[in-house]
Amino acid sequence: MIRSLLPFGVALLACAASARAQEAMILHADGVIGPDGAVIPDGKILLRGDRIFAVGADVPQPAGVKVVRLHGVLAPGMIDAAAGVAVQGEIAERAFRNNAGLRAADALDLRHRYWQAALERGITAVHVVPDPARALAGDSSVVRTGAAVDRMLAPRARAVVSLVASGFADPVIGPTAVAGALEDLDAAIARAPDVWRGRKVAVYLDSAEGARAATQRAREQGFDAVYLAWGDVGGYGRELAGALVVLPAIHDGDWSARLLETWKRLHGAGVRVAFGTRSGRGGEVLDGLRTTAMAYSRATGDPAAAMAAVTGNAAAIAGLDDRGRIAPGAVADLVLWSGHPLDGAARVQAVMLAGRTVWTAPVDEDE
Amino acid sequence: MNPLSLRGALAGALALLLLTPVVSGQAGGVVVYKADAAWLDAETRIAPAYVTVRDGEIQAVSARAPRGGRTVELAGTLAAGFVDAWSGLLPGDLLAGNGGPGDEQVRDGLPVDLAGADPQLAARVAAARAAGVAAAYLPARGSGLQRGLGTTVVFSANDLPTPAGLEGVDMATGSGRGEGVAALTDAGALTEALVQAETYREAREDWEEKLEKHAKDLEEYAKKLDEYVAKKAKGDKEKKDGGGAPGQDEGDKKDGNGKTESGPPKRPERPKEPSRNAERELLLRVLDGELPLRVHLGQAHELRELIAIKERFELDRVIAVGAEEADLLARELAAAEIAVVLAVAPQHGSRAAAERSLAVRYRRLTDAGVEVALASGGSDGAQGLLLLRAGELIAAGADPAAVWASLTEIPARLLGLEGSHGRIARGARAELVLFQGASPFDASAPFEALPGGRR
Repeated sequence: MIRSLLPFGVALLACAASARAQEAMILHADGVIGPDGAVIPDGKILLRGDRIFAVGADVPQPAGVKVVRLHGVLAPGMIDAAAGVAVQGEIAERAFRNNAGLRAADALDLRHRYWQAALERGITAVHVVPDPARALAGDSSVVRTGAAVDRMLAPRARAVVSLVASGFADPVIGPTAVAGALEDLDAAIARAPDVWRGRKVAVYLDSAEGARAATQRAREQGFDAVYLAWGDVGGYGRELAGALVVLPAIHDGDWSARLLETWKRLHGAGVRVAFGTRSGRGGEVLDGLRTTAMAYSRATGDPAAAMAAVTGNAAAIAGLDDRGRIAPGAVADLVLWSGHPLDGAARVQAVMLAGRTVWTAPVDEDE
Repeated sequence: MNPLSLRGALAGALALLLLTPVVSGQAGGVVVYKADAAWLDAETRIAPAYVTVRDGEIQAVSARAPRGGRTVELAGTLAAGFVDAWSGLLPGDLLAGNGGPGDEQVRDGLPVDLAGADPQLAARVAAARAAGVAAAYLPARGSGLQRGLGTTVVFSANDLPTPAGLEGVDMATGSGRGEGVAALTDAGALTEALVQAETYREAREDWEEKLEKHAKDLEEYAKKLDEYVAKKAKGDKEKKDGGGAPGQDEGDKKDGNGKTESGPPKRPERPKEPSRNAERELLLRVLDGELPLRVHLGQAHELRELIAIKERFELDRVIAVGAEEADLLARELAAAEIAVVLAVAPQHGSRAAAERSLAVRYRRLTDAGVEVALASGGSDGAQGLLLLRAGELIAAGADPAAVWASLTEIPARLLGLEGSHGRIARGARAELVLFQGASPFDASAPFEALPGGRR
């Protein structure tokens, strides 16, 4: 076995070279965030190509496999569970009563500097969701961050439905109420039941009425449904026990004691939370994804749930079954942090996408 | 008794005292907290840490085990509790009021420190303490330019606020009073208020001078009166002896019109006292350096006025509260040595919050050398945001030691609690927090408060 102890950047670059050659290699870090969200001290990840083969305190060490020692904590790349980033204006089409054919992917500027900024903050994928301007709002898309050309992971990730009356209320185009939106949804299902059966759906909600109707249809139609919380989720969150729900990441002006209490109650009710920035307003919003997870950890006392909210749960929201966790079979989208990602002082040291190192932090000249 | 047996008995009693287990935090008991480490202040760390506490006060701090006391082992790092330099932990009637007079004193409105005296307030204080807050400033909440006399408080065993540290004169100008007309019409109002206080002082001093003169005049008058009485008595006697009419002498002759030529001296009139003004007297205490001036404001032009006021009136202690545009004048504020209290909870109607995040504003201020205290901002329950937003600042690149000082040492100094709060040191109150992980800002690890040195 070849063993090396290298600075993280060099080490990961070396690792990338190996990954390109489809070789196996072991990443040995001070800590690895395991499949359950807990830190494995002195953890190891066995990579084969772009996939994780094994993870744990001890992993199989095939002969000749290189071990790369890394200082810091390896975590799954964060995933923004609902964003409206790098687009011109809104992802909506106001000319039609329904926009079932709209694709968020078509509105994206993949050359926008946002994508690289997201990568450098440890965000490796973004679920871009149409606005709730129509009852049938279109299809969401999933994009890998960074500057590579081919980054579209899923152009049609989920059919997005809006039951947010304030989102689509239009006296000319309509509908103007949740009941009207449900009529549209039911009509669409009746027209093409085979298309909708088993479909991945994301439903915008802002009321208990909408939550009850959405969960009922999900059961009846066999949707794989997730929910995008709009408005005051404290008022209807209990309807979503056990469900996957996207909550807005906190922006600077959104902090309140009530919000923390709402999170506690949702967590206690068994709601599986993911966070989405919802907006593409630059770096501070991107920073908000991690700091929201930090706050969620403090509010609930459950760091694993907080990590899941920006990794595994967010991946499930985006329909990415093989991302968002460090587990055998998962794609090796990894971020090396200088400490635990929920430690405010931790910084991103390097980012690996599908087993390739795509970014390393500039070396501080003072060090 | 045999002296040896007496000595033995005393030694035995002493040993018994030292070995007697005490309940953590119990009055009179000595407890030694042994932790993995301690942050004594923003810069100083020791590991391991032994913090000896008696009656809620830190008796000793050491990296070596002290003798005596019951040792309680704690997993993690000890640090001082937070000092909330702008809090809303006020009794309900003070919170609900529409604003009292400009000389209202918060201290007078606090409940008596008895269990059950104000259960609602006690519950809110307990929640704040559980969030790590060890002391707070409770501002006066009047609606005018001058709001009254706020007070620093610590928390009793009944979870009630009790006055400690410095009081402060709270004022609010322009945007600090809200939106609308008040925000536009207050230009120069702060200066005017202080000028009026000086004018009031001059009027009082003028009156006091007159009063002194009046006292002298009274002495003079008394002399003249004595002379008059003596002279009159002499005249009366002479007349009596010489057969003249009583009550008439040479100095008391009537002229041709029958008027008295000379009578008793006229008593000098006491100068009229200018009416007292309690609001202006509070401001005089600010001008005399007895009390800090805390001005709630937001916009840059108001801060400019505050800077000018500090210079013009040579004020020692001026604190800008809220001050959401303070970062725009960071260098000027640093040069003027005006401290800034930033709220972690968004304030209603804030423009700056929409334009520049707390992280940006904090960084600009601290980079310029302004003393910044982070505070809950008076919102109910917002104490729970202090640690979270501090973590956000650090995630955005702020120096952890500076942020920690903004939660502890700096507000303690602003509130006059530097000897008792904000640091772990001998003589300080044992208002502690305990964290695991790399720092208190590591949200992957537990954090808990030990209010009053109790778990």
